[in-house]
Amino acid sequence: MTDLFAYLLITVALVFMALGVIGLFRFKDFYSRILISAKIETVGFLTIMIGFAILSGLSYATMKILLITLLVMITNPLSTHAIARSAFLSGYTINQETRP
Amino acid sequence: MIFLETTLFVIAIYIVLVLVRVILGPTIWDRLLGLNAISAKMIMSIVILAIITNQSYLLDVALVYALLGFISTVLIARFIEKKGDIS
Amino acid sequence: MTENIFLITLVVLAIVALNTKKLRRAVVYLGAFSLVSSFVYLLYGAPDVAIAEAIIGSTITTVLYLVALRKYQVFSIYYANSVGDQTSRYLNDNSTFLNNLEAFLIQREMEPQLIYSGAPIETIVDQEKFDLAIHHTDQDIWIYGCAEDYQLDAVEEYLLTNYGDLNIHLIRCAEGEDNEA
Repeated sequence: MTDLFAYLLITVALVFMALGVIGLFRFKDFYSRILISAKIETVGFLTIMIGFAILSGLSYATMKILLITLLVMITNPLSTHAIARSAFLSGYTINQETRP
Repeated sequence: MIFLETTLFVIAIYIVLVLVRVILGPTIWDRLLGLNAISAKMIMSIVILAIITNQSYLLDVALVYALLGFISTVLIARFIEKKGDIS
Repeated sequence: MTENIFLITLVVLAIVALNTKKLRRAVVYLGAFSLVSSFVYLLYGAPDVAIAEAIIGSTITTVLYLVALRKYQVFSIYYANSVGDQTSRYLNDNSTFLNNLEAFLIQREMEPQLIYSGAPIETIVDQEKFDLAIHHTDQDIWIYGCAEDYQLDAVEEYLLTNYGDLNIHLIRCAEGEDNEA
C-alpha cells in the first residue's frame, strides 16, 4: 500500500518535470523560461524525493535522502535567482515584438 | 524494481532534452539554466541508482553534489554580471 | 539502454565543447560534461572516483577556468595614420600616447600587441580581427572598437580623463559572432 503511494508520487513528479521540459522549449524568451524552470524543477524535486524516502522505508538512508532534499530546496532557488539577477543586471531585455 | 529503472530511463530522456536547450540556447543564461536543471536531475538519478543497487553509500555523492553543485552556477553568473571580475 | 544514452551524451558534449567559438560557453559545456561523467563512473561501480570528479571537475575546474579566462586577454591594437609625409613626426609625437595606453592595458592584466599598418582604415576595420584600431589624422584620433567589448569602457574612461585635450572620437562597431570570449 505504501509502495503504491510512493509510485504514485514518483509518477506525479515525472509528469511535473515533463511539463517543465516542455515549457523550456515552448516559451520564446528567457525570463519566461527561467520562471517555468525554477518553479517546476523545485516542486518536481520535492515530490520525487518524498516518493523515494517513502519507498526506502525508515532507515539511515532515508535521513540522507531528506537531508539532500533540504539542501537542494535551499540551493536551487538560490542559483536560479543568481542567473536571473545576472541577466537583469547585464541589461538583457525582452524583445517586445516577438513576445508571445 | 522495473518501475525504478523506467524512472531512471525517463530522467535520462529529460536530461538529453534539456541538453538540447543547453546547446541551442540563444543566450549564455539559457545555457546556465540548462546546467542548473541537469544538475538537479543528476542528483535524482544518483538517488535512484542508490535505491536500485541497494548501496546507501552512493548517497554521499548526491550529498556532495547538493552541497557543491550550485557553486559553479553562481560563479559563472557572477562572472558574467561583473563583466569579468569575480572578486 | 540508459547507460548508452549517457555515453552518447558524453561524446556529444565533448565534441560541442571542442568546437565552440566562445570560451565562456565551453566552460558551461565542460561543467555539464563533468556532471554526466561523474554519473557514468557511478554506473561502472566507482563511487570514490565519482566523488573526486564531482568536487574537482564540477567546482574547482570551473573556478580555475574562470580565473584563467579573466587573466588571459591578448589585446591587439592596429595603428594606422593618414597624415602623409610627416609620418615620422607624428609617430614620435604620438609615442607617449601609445606607451601610456600599453602601460594601462598591462596594468589591467592584458597583453597588448601593437601592429603598425599602412593600409587604409576601412580595410582594417572590415578584414582584420582587432580589439582596438587607432586612426590618426591631422587633428583627430579615431578609435574603433567592438560594441560588446567590456574592456573598452575602461579604456574610454582612461583616455577621457588623461587625454581630454586631444580630439578623441570613439566608434563602436558591431562585431560578428566570431569574436572570442
